[in-house]
Amino acid sequence: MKISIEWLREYLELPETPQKLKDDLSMIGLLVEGVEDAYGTTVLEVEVTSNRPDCLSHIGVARELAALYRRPLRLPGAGRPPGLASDRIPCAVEVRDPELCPRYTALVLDGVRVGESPDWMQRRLLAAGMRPLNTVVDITNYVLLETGHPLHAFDYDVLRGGRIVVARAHSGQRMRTLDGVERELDESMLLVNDGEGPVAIAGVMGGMESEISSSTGRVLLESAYFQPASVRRTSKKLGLSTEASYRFERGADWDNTVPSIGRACRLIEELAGGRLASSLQDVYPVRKEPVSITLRQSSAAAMIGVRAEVRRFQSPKKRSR
Amino acid sequence: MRASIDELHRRFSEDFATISDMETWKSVRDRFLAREGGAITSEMKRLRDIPSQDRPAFGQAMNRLRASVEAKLEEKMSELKAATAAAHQALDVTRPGFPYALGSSHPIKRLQAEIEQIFVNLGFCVFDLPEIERDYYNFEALNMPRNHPARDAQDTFYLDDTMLLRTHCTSVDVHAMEALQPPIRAVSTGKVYRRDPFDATHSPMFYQIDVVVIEEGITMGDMKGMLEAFLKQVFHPGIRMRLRPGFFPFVEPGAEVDISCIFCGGGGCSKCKQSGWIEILGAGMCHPKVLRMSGIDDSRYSGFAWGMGIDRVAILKYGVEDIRLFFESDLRFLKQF
Repeated sequence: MKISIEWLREYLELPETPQKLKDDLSMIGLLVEGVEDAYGTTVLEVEVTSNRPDCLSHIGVARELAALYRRPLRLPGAGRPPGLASDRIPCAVEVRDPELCPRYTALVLDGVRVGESPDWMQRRLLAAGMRPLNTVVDITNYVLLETGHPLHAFDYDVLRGGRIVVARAHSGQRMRTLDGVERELDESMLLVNDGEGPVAIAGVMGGMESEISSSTGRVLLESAYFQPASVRRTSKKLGLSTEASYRFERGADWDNTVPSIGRACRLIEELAGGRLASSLQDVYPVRKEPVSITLRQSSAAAMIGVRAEVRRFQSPKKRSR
Repeated sequence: MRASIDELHRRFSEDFATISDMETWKSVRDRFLAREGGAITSEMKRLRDIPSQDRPAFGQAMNRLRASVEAKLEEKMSELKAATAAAHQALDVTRPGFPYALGSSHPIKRLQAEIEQIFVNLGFCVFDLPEIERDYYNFEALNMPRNHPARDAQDTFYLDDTMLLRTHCTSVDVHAMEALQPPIRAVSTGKVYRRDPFDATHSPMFYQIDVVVIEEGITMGDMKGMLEAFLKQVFHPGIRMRLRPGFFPFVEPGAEVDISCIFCGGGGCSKCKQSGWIEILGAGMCHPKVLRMSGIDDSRYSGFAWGMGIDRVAILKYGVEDIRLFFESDLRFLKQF
């Protein structure tokens, strides 16, 4: 994964040289395989092991550095809570398979003018190895690189019935994905449908028909949490691995769905003239509670063979809050 | 007439005395008996020039001469043959023998044996198990259920739904834990397989060693101590070692183990990409889930495991640039070890 040092500096003080950051990140388990200058920034090529999906973003890496250097983290606010919006446009979400899709959030913006995203955003996308396309798509990709949460944007006017239905495919069903390929689907795969048929393969890739284009005026944003094993199975079966599937199959953060959709919503309002036109839909039938882990100083010492001070366990977490 | 026969006889006797080997034997025979130009043969041809009353006597005399010459030559030939055979059988006990073209042990096999011996000397149990393995031992029992993303790192040759070519010797740790009661000290070495391209740094078949230790009170400190002692013995007593956080689903915490670059001593060179360190193996404390799955009481026992590529050590130790050299059976290469 490509991480821009200039982008990291938005979240914490980093006077360190790229070489120092390379060495320090490598020693905390984020192996830096290369350092290069690109698009006006220094880019670190970071190898993230499959147990650390929380590090698959700029904020994720910044969080590690904040803990390492014991510095405060400045996170971008999501702005106005999207829950307060009007109900000018109906946006109904139904999840028929809550096991494969434990959480699905969505909202609709209208008045969107799709054009080119600003230079600073294009440069950041390019530095991270992504191709800029248009404002809305670039914003979803930008938020992915920033927070690590994959988002998807649909052209609301193409969605039949103005609704979203998350359900498994029936065998023999087909759809054309964004890359122009006609895909054959089966019952093991989870789909995002509109009122009539599939518009995206959940967590893997959107459909071509509902793609954002220059004529799009209303946008439905999706920010969901899909079950890792299901996304991985589908991605393997289709031979289709994407930035989104890569993160979902390792495990996204279900508590990151709302902040990320809020962040994307605010960026579309700022950069593409959109206005929030629906309330935030948040289908989350079985609430996942944060897990508490008991760490005993004595068991840690028995495992690592060194008795570490309790303060050393505590402080990184306290400081990064 | 009589005189010419006597003369022939005298000449033959003289020449016959000079025969010492096959070559001189042949030239004497040809001189007297050759169809064209042999002395006896030519004399016989004169038969029709001789007055008819003398012919029978001359003929008989010539035939006698010819028979006696042939008999003598025949006898000489037997003598010569016997002498040659005797010469061949003669044994010179002081002469150095002709060496057989003996093979030698393959550099990787030798390294494998050397490394294994280190652990045998430490009292480890050696497990030598088949290269065809069950999915359960290779992945599931090592906390990598189906659809685990970590399986991506080891692209696997599956034989069918449940059988595969083992991708690491770590699968043997599971067999060791099932077969033995703690304290367990087990080592296994052998071939492993991955669907990698065959190029300078990859081979679809390579060698690994895996070590597992399970006992009461084992800590990461024990692991670090053993690794450092082992790596110093394999490479050089002067090398330094460091641990970095790493991820293998069957250990927690997991570590990538680096040694100071054996080419530049840690100053930075092209071999270590200027970092001064070379990644050499993966290690960690056995995951409690893995212990439990193999029937070990994780509240009582802890342990560590580590695995290393033997080919990788060979490449570093012998300064070989291309892993393929080890597997292409080129004698010009293999004879250098």
